[in-house]
Amino acid sequence: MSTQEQQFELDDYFPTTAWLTRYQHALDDSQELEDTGEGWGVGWNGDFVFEMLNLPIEERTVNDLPEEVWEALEQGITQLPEDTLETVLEDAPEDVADGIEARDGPLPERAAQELLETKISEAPEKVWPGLRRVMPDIMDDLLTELEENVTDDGTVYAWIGLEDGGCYDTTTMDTLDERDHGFVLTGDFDQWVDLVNGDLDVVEAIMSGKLELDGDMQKILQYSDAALTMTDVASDLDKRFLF
Amino acid sequence: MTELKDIEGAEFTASDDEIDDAIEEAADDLGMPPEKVEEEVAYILDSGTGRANNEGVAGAAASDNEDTNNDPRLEALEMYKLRQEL
Amino acid sequence: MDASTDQIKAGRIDTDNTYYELYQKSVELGTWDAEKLMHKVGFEEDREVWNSLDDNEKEQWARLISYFIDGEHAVAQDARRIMKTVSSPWFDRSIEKEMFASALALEEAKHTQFFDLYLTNVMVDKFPQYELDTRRGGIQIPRTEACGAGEMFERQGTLQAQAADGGDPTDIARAATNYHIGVEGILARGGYFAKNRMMQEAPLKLLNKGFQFISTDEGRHITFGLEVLNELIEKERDGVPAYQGVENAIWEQAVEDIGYITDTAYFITESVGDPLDVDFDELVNRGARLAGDMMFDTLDLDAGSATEFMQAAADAMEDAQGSDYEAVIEKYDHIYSAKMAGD
Repeated sequence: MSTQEQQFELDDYFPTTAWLTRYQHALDDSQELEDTGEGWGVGWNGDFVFEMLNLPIEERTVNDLPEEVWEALEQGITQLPEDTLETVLEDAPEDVADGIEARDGPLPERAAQELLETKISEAPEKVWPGLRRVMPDIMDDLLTELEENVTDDGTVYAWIGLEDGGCYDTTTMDTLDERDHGFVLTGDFDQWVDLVNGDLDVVEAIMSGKLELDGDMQKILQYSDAALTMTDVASDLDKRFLF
Repeated sequence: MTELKDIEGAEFTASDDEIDDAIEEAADDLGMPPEKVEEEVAYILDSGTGRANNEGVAGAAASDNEDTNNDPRLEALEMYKLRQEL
Repeated sequence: MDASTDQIKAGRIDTDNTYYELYQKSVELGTWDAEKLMHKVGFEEDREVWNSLDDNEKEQWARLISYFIDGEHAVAQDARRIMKTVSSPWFDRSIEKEMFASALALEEAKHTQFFDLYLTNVMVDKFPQYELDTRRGGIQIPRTEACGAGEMFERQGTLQAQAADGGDPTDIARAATNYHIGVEGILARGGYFAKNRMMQEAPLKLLNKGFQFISTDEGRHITFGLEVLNELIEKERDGVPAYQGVENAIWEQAVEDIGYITDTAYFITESVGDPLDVDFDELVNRGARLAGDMMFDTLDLDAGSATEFMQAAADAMEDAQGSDYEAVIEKYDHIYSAKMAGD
């Protein structure tokens, strides 16, 4: 089945809060983590922050998102009756309206192209409520994620609550210190993609400086098998990368 | 051998112009060609590897010598000047 | 171009060779005079700072400097073996490696001299016993004996002897890994990281200058060692029968050595309460990065896994947490005293 025909939910996309919740359940269900992580965080803070830097929100545009996402947006716009589209566009921000006006061709195509060529960092503010109502749900949800969970400089702070071989909660945060944590694993988004794909050994990544670890090294060393289990669980989980 | 300004692996705070000026001045004081001084300073930092891996010099800038503006290249230059007196 | 930057044509010496470049840089940068450095900078400021430290702070410095003086001394003794090894038929018999190894020998002796002068003139109150070495008395400083570094230096002597006395490429690989990656690349560089932290709280100016010269010399030694290891690895990868097993030997030795190094890191930080704020976690993190750079980036080792390496560090750390270093130091203090008395 091609990606166009296949339907994806928000929790299929990495990095989203919804995917993180799915990861939480998978970690919590992992017998291996129960074994390798036994005692982790008992009597001390074992919670992690995954700090993903440099998401390419400035470099990429909406049509760089996974194909099925932008195609659904394009279809949603081009299939609207023209008078409905005109009504929707009446409330468009001025720069979007000007951008559509400056393009050549039929209105639906111009409108779709203007939106698809919008920088991802600018997408949430350029999409107005009227457009959101006619947009595919997945696009709407992803814009909300971008708005709420990716910082202006392209960072995602994913918080993972870990204790005694289980994962009791996950969330995303606006700042590093929004929730207490014991450990921070930091790296460029590209390295995180390799890590959750299973193409990067977490310990080797720390040793080679691809990822930086802040926290009690004694604990990490003692539980290096649990760290590997966590990346194994991530790589076993289906995912589609937004970038 | 790597050019001083092409070395990677450390946080450099001084501008290229500041480095050039410091090298010129030191070369003048030492009576040496600036290219040679620059080559030696680069080698102090990277031992021929292209990466500033001499933590004994590079990391010392933070506390030891305020005049070097915490830039490992200037710290290495200071060390080279001292070395020429030894 | 000015004459001093011109390359002068040579005959039997290959001046394009990396080993020649390292040798020439040793001549240009490594021939500093330890005594002149002492005269130039002077002891006064260091003595003043040293005398202002409390006993625990002095103890932390003493633990670091103990392993430096004994380590430098051990390799100064082993340098003749390194010269012999690199002139063996397992290499191309070119003179440039030997030229560099001769510079290495001088530099390691000078590093020993620097620490000896410094201890004698600044830190002597924490070192009532440091005059003996492994030949004159058969023992290292009690603090060195008490931690992994002491064991590592003894292992170094054995490995260098095996490599030099008819050793095959895997023996050479083990010796070079132990010395250039383990002792110089991680233990010493980790020590520089620690001294940078300790200098923030206790700025010992002359000591810092000495460390700057020493770390610059050691940087060339590490580049040399990694070049030597790369030569052996290349021959193994080319399928030359006698070189098979080199990568595995490097890996095994690195895993063995990280245990000694982790123990030493714990010994100079947590076990003494870390009064000068080195931070054991950050020191281990730094050591792991240094190891990763050399083994995965520079040597591109296929053998072994990062987890196995870090697990060895974890095991050593667990042992370290249960160690009574003070009791071991005390035991060796008695032995040292007896040796000093000529028993």
